[in-house]
Amino acid sequence: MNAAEMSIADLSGLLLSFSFTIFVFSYIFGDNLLFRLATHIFIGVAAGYASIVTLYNVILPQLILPLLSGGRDEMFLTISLLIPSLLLLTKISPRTSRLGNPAIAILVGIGAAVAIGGAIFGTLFPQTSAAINVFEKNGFINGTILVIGTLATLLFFQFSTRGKESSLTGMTQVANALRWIGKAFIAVTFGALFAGVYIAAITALIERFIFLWTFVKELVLPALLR
Amino acid sequence: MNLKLKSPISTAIAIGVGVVVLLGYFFGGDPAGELTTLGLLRDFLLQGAIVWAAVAMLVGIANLASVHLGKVRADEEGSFSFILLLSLIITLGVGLYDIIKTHTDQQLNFQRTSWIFNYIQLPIETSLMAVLAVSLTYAAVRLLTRRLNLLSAVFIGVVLMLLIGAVPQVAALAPLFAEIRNWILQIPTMAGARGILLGVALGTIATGIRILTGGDRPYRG
Repeated sequence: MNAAEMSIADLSGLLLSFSFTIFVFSYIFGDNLLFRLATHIFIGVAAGYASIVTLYNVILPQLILPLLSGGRDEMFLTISLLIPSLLLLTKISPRTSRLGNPAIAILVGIGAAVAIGGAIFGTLFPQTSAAINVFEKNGFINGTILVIGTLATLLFFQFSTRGKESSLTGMTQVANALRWIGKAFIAVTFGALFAGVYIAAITALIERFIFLWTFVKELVLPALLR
Repeated sequence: MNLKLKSPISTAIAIGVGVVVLLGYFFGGDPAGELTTLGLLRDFLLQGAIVWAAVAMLVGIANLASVHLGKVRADEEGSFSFILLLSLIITLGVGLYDIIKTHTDQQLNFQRTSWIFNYIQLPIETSLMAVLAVSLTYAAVRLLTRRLNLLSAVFIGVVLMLLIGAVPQVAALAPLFAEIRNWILQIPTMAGARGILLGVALGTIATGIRILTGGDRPYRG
């Protein structure tokens, strides 16, 4: 960072970055005006940026440009995409929003099918086949822990309603004990996830401190000492 | 039996489209590797879903703008909503200008949008992530002081073990630490993650089937 070699745009950008970093860090002392200002600007900018990326990468090349310069087949295909898109736009106003229901239904139908397909081919088959081969790769003890952990965790996700405590049979008591073991495995997994997120957050914190320190050392202090 | 079917057209569309896409997964290709009619239809619908999801996102952003416009009019935290709208409009304006410039110059010209991204969005996002470190520490301390039981002790113990084991100096001085850390990550964490993933997948399939059979209709309204 050298102020003399920087353009006005870069310099003002760095000043903005510095200010916004301080504004967000002020949240450490509690919710305040500066933090709210930063988050509201962030939401506005992020929404605007997402709109621009969507317009440039999806809407323009797939919905607008083929209509303007595409062949007959392409135009026919684009019109079939355009009709549900226009119906979706009716969702903006509460008065016309009912017209958009069929378009939402198309999205929901496709989403449900993709979710089922993804769950079967992306998770269920690969994870089940990996669980089958645990003894070959991990040995007997680790393999047993993996199998018990997987089954106990899976058992914790009960998709039906639970019976009353008084009506518990021996089998359900075993299932309950396994569920408790599953809870312990979930605690270990969430602990690992927590540690991962914590390391990422600490990395971001260090990066921001380095930025603040570099900004003060190379731009603020030389200006004050001049 | 009095069967009252609400929004029959939307329900029929959702079921029809969903079944076609789902069948396309299983019967989308013939043994020679060529796409069948079902496969072509599935590809068209998936391609369309990208466009419609993009339009739906724009509708969502328009809704965000209208909600904040309402707040500005009602003077309910209006100044912050005004700032949000202003930053949204400026970003959109700059972005649209860059898109037009890119098309007229026939080369990528997104310096202004990149400036906004690099100097406003990225620092705020990174700072929010950094503040998360403080919030997570506070949450962990609260867990220890207010809800200490065997499971929370296991949770905190795993967190500490993984954090200490991640320090390279610790791994160099006490290799056992690194070994325990690797074992935790590869065996119990993997078992729990696999169980969670399988549970989520089964839940997803159950929810998807409910939608495809018309049991759930989240498109009414």
